[in-house]
Amino acid sequence: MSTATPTVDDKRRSRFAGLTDALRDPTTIIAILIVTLPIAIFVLYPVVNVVVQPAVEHWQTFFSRPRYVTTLRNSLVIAALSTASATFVGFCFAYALSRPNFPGKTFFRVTSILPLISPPFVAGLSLVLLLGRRGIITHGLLGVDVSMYGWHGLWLAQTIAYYPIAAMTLSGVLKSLNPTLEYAAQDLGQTRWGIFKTVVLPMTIPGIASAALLVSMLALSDFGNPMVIGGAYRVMAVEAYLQVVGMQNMSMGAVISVVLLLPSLLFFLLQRYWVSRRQYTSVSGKGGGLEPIAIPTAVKWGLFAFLTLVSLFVIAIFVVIVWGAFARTWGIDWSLTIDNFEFTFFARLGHIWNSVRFSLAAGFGTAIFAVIAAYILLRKRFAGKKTFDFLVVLPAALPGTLIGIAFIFAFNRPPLALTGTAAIVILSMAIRNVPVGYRTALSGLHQIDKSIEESAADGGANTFQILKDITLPLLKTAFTVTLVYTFVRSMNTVSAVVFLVSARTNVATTSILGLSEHGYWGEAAAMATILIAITSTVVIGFRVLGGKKLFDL
Amino acid sequence: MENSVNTLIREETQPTSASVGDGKDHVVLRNLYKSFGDVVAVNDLNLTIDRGSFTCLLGPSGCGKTTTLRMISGFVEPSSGELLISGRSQRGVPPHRRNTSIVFQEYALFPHMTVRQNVGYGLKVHKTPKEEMNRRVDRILEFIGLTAMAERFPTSLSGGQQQRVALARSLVMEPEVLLMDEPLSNLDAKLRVRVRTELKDIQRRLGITTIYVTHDQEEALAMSDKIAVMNDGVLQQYGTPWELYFTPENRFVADFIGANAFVTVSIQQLTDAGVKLSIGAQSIELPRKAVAMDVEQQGAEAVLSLRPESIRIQAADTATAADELRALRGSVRMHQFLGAYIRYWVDVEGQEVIVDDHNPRARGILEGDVALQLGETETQLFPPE
Ligand SMILES: Nc1ncnc2c1ncn2[C@@H]1O[C@H](COP(=O)(O)OP(=O)(O)OP(=O)(O)O)[C@@H](O)[C@H]1O
Ligand SMILES: [Mg+2]
Repeated sequence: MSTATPTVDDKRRSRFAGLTDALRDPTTIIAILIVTLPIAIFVLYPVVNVVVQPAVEHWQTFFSRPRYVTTLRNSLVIAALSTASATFVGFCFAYALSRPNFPGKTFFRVTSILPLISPPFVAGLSLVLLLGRRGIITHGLLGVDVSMYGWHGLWLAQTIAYYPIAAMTLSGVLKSLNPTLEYAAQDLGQTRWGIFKTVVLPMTIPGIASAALLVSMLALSDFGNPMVIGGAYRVMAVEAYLQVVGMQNMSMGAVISVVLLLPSLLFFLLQRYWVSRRQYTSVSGKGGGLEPIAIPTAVKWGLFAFLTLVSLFVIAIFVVIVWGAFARTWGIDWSLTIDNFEFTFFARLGHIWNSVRFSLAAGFGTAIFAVIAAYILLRKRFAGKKTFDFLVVLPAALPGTLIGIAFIFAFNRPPLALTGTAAIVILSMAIRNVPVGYRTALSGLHQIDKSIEESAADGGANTFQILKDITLPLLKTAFTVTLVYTFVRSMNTVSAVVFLVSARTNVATTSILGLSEHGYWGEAAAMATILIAITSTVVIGFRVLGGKKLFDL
Repeated sequence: MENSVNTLIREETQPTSASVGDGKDHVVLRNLYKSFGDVVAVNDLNLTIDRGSFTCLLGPSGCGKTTTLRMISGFVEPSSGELLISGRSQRGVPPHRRNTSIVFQEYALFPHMTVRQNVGYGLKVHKTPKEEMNRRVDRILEFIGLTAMAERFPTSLSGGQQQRVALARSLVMEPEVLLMDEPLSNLDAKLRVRVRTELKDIQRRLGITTIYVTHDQEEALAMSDKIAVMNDGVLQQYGTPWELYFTPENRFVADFIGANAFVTVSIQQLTDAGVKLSIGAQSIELPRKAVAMDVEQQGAEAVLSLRPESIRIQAADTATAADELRALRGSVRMHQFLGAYIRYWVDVEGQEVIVDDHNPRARGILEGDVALQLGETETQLFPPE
């Protein structure tokens, strides 16, 4: 071998080696197309298409009319407030759960999972029943005529709806901290508060940033809660809905959805390229049997009281929903009845059934797609892997409102005239869960790679055995987790589908929103109860049947 | 360099000696006992550790070394028993109030701080004035040879360098007692030998009382003034490396330190001067001091522990009558030529004895029947299992 420096030619060859390899192997090309074509057609094309829709004068209108500017400000303010509070509450939960001497961990885990498996707007709906004009606390107990409608009610609802996401993210970060670091600090004379301040907190900052970015994306694009409890405090997602569905003003809808996209995309990129680089992984090993340092008694009970308060609130929310479902007329006639369920059964059963079958279809579609995409990324050699990876996780950056409006623009004419069909609803559900499914599948397949290497190193590589004992079970796990996760999320989704459902394809969530919009609280609560019953049965059943943990707190 | 080391040593030792007096016993463990549920991690441990000494806690995995160290540092509260440092009971004294400092196996460097910030952390916690803090950090970094790395982050250092930063972070606090839990186990074999020499050198120059946990007998022998061998939470023997190697008090210690063969014998005759043993059809005599057990009974079974290098091997036909008294006869089953010596596996009455011949050129490689002459003092008699 010569030791000469590589020539330009060599460089070019190596740069395009992946590409030429792919060209020589047609199966690779087909495989890549199987994944990238759907992304191009159902993500890239609609998004680009909607971005170029509005003309300059539409933008001018948006930024000159107080109505829109106020809405934009409202959105940013409420998202900032909810992000701060949800991240704070989430951190308290995750921190408490990571300490060895904290009582009642299981209870707090369960109450934090409840909001994750129900539609986010359940918090808003329930707040209306609790604290609204006819609320059980405000009207029933206190007899005052205050209302939760507005920014404060919305803030509370979003905090409850999104703190579990922050708790889940932070719990992973806190669990990976090496407890020995805390002991080292203590050994050097640090107090427990000092340890928290100089070791635990600084090392968790990237995780906190990550959780905050995630929550802010959700809060900013939240549609259900502002719709139910926002009242006159109008946010962008609601404004877009009013423009498109109420006034048929498609261009303004496009403007608003693009305005929603920008911060979301920014947060997504920040998370992907900046925060994730700054995560501290412990230099080596775990703490050798050392548990994280116990929290001081006073702090422990202080935290305990706070978490109990939050948890009781969460429980109250679900109790009130179920109660509301059985009350004759909320706030006026508290007698129990099954009328609301009867109504649901006769008038809205179709919507629930639609939810179930669309979500199932989305679940299967997402799971198959995600596993294939992960397999291709790991197993095939081709140029542009980074781009491929970016494209597959890109839907995570897209607000539901944007997807809904973009789909209307993209698929209302041939060759892909999907408006009013079940397909467009299912596609919107599936697209949004591809990133999570793909990541799950990736981590599963990474394990396969390792075990194959190991057994090959042992000299005992038996392909069939590996396939049967390792590859298939791991793929099955990734597949089922994605399936169930997508199902649950699709059952609860609302911000995109609200633009896409027709009378024939209406789903439970939008149906509930419609009912609550017109003040049919009992009926809305009954349907929400059924929805929650279905999703929690699926989640619990999956767990009981030996499925992997969906929500790791 | 020598000067700065001297000032370092003076500053290290003065405050401690001024405040606590010069008692020779520095760390005293009295009937220290710790159980986790049903598991007894440390059982009635008694140890007295001299000021300025280097003491190893040695034993197999799970024998309670780490637990003992953590009780000394204060991270683990003893179930019962007492711990004295400089004559003061440490009951209820939290880790940060003890004048001890621990170096963890995985170093536990703060990844979000530079080397300088790591080393200065403890001083900052104690609100040391800025100039003094900088001076002490600089001095210790120089002492430990990491001045050039001061502004780097731990993840960009090699394992050996991280190890030294962890040590510096402890030393800069000028602790009375330095505790180390298998500090070298994350390093590769070669580096381990080098760093252990450095560590020992630093300890010797500072004269700091050091308690060091390891399961590596070679490390323990090489570094320690005294070694405490533990097994299953129980102290087996506490002594100098020399004592442990040449006069192990029980079979566990003999087995754990150095290679050893164990031969089952029966006791035939006891006199004040010696003991007569039989192995199958053969018999030999040993001086009384080689007997570690209270041998009272004649005809009792016992175990003879033989160090491979303490046995002289020669061809059976060259053995003289004078040698016969302390010689065993056997036949070579196998040998390995290892350069500096030849290791033989010799069959003696159906039992295996390992013998090293450290002068291979004198006799060449032996085969067939051989005579094994046992050394006088390196041979120990233990009770049967
Ligand atoms: N926090 C704990 N909870 C329960 N059992 C423990 C705990 N810490 C130690 N033990 C048990 O006590 C015994 C002694 O443990 P210790 O860590 O002191 O051993 P060690 O000698 O340091 O071993 P190693 O060489 O593997 O580090 C072991 O049986 C261990 O399982
Ligand atoms: Mg240990």
